[in-house]
Amino acid sequence: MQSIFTDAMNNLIRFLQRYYYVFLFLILEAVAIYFISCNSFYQGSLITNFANNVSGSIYEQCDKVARYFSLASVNEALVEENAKLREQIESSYVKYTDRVMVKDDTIYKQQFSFVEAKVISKSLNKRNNYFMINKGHSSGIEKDMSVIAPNGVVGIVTEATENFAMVMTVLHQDSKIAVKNKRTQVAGTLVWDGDNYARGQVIDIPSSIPLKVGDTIITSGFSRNFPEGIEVGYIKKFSKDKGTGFYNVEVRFSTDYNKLGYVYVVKNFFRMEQERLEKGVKNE
Amino acid sequence: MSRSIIWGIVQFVVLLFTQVLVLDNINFLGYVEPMLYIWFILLLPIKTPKWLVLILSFLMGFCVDIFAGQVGFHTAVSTFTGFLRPLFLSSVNADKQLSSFDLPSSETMGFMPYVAYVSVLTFVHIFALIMIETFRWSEILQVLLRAGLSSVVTILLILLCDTLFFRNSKD
Repeated sequence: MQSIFTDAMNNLIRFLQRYYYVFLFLILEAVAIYFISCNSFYQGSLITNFANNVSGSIYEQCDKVARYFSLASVNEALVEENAKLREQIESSYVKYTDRVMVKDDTIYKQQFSFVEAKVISKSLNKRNNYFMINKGHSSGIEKDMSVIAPNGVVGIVTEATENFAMVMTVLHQDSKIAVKNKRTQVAGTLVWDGDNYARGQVIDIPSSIPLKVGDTIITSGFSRNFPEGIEVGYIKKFSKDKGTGFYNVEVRFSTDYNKLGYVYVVKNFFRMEQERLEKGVKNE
Repeated sequence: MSRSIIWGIVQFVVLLFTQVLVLDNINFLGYVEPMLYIWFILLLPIKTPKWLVLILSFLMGFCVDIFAGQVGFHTAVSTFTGFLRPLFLSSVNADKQLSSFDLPSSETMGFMPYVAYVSVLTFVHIFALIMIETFRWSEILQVLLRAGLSSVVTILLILLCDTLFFRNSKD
């Protein structure tokens, strides 16, 4: 009786000795798959937080060196933006009338505010591209806020830690941004087919409405994180898709993501209210 | 023995930082992602125990992942590559004349088998990675194009580094 058990034990041990390597492989793969699931199912999970904190601080150190090489082009972009903003301030307007208008402040309420942040790491050559920026919870940045550049859209914050945040760019297979044609106001959706980081695609524009090459595409404000009217790009070419009745539109992005150094994170003060409303409607 | 451990650690750190700080920032043709860090897995001594290869591949993948924005993809694929590695080395491993420090190279394996070993594992690694990142059958052509171009560049880089760092020291 006892020998049967020892035999069985010996066989089990031999079996494990031969195949331990496969078991170890399966265990390690299971751990890796758990890590992958952390990205989508557990927001702010320990593992992604840890990764973002470590890579963030290392990227920031490297960026301190690397930023000197891009000073010239960053300066140029800032000067350009300064000039644009200067055009908008009061002193650059000539007063045409002396009529005094009383502006009641309570009729304006600020909806969006902007936090400037620096891009400390980015990729452009993958199917799904992320940027990391050097601001996080401590600057009031939260998941789902939108990120824009001085002249274009960048993406949406997917993960924020104390001092850093990860931005899912428009150069991502899951990025869908509500846009519209500035001239005709017809709405569509901006996606990216993974081909060229300078060009995106707009889908869902019905082919019954005429388009022109060179039309400006701007955000429509329908996706609640982006303010309305942020420039996205210009129509480069388009064709009608006979099967669906929609256009295939190719857009040249107005921002060169390769040169992008500084971005603005958009805070929407009405966001909670909008979300509550949406939730209420969905529950009914 | 301790010398080869230190050499291994140096390799690990140098390849990791070359990957995440230099190669990941190169934007070449928009499609190409050179992944030189695979070389670490390919270059472990032939007689390294299988479990150690698995654990080291896992660690390498995890460290690359920390910098990648999304955790887990490189870890999963590196572990897979570490798992496949012994299949290609079993015939060489049976050779009793090898010492425990001998690395896979064209001297120990022969030129063509070595190139085949590097090429097949690199392509499988990169293809699997891009495939699970994209996770869409409809984009299979683009995945193949990306994987093909990235593999060619990575294989050339590995063979180039191999000649630069190992051939010279032996002469």
